[in-house]
Amino acid sequence: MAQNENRFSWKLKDVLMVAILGVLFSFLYLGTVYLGMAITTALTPLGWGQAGYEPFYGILFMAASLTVFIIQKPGTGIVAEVIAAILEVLMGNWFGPGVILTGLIQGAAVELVFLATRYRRFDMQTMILSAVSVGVLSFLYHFWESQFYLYPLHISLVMLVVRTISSVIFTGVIATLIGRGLAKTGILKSYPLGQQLAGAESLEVDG
Amino acid sequence: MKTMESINPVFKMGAVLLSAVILTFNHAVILNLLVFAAGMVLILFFSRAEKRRLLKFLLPIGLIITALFITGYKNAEQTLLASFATGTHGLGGLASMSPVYTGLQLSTRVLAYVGLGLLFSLTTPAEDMVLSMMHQLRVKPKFAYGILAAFHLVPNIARELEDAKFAYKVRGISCGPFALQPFFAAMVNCIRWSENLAMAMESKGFDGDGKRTYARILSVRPADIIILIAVPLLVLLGTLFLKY
Repeated sequence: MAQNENRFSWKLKDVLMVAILGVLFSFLYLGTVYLGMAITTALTPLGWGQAGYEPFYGILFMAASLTVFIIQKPGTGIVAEVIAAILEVLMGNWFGPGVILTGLIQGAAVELVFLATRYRRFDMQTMILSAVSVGVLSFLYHFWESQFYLYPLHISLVMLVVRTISSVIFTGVIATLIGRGLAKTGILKSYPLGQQLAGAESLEVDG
Repeated sequence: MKTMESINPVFKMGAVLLSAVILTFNHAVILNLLVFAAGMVLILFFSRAEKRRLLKFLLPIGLIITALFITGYKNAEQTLLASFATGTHGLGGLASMSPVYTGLQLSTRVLAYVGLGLLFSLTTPAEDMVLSMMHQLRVKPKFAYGILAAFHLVPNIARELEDAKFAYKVRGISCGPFALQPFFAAMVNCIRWSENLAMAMESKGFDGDGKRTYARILSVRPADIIILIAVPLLVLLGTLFLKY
């Protein structure tokens, strides 16, 4: 990345925000794990069990896309995903440090679209494109890592489509709405997203 | 070497990651099973890991590998690979295996990852991991302690989310388990926390970039270096020489 002068210098409060949001999103994902298990169990006799978790993949990418949306600087998505992955290892993940590798790839995939706009466009459209990017690229990584080439083509394709749709819904649309909502509350004043939306609305009081 | 906990975390992580990457090139079921078995033996007999935690992990994994096995077993003749490759050697040979074998390939690959992953996760204390990141990988203290602080906040973050759900309930608004409103409320408070916590840490003299002294410094012993090289090397040899 060429624009070194544009690089974000992380402060302790930014690290804490990203890390704490990472934990919060992992709770959201954990909430869907049982549902994923139920779907997997139901689909297993048909030979489609592996597709059971695909509808929730978008939630896994939300921390990265929301962070890039808030901070809007190169590298923030990758750093956010790696921080979230290290936290998952600390909390006890059965794939262990392997998730750090996945996190690197997912963070890079989220940022690809913003890199193409030279980190200038942060709106619903670029967020949705970025969601498609991470859905497809993370699938390609799993294609190799989890031997999807041993599945029939139609199962792989359905998994890819379901994952991308999930990514567009959660990582694209919902993450954008959450980001805008957070900016409206005023707590993001010190970040580009907060300044971008400043003046649009003043207050929305929570308890 | 005493227990798995005494291995330097960064070197243990390196050994696990390198082995996992090498395993993506492996197609031998026996190697996958060996890696999983080695992980389990090391956790059960050479670590202080809580055995009950291991059991909690193994139940959902059982479901996943069953699903994988049946996916491979039922569709073995029409795999993507089989439709491209014909022949008896290389990838083509892989495709012409029996349905049971295809199922085993899919399911034992995940078992091997899980054996490596749990070996790391269950035998590495959070504080050691974070200290080792600073001492061996030169990660800045603000990242290392930021992550550690968030880790110790996990129970509080969980309670915050519960409180937010409860607040909605009190007002007579029922939210399903996947409702986003309480999640959003928790998020707002968590972002506030991160600012307050950063201020608290810095007012106590925490300097995220500067030099600092450490009560404990994790050192690197020759055994750590041997593990980093020998474990991936063994996996590589298995990948090269084990056929089934």
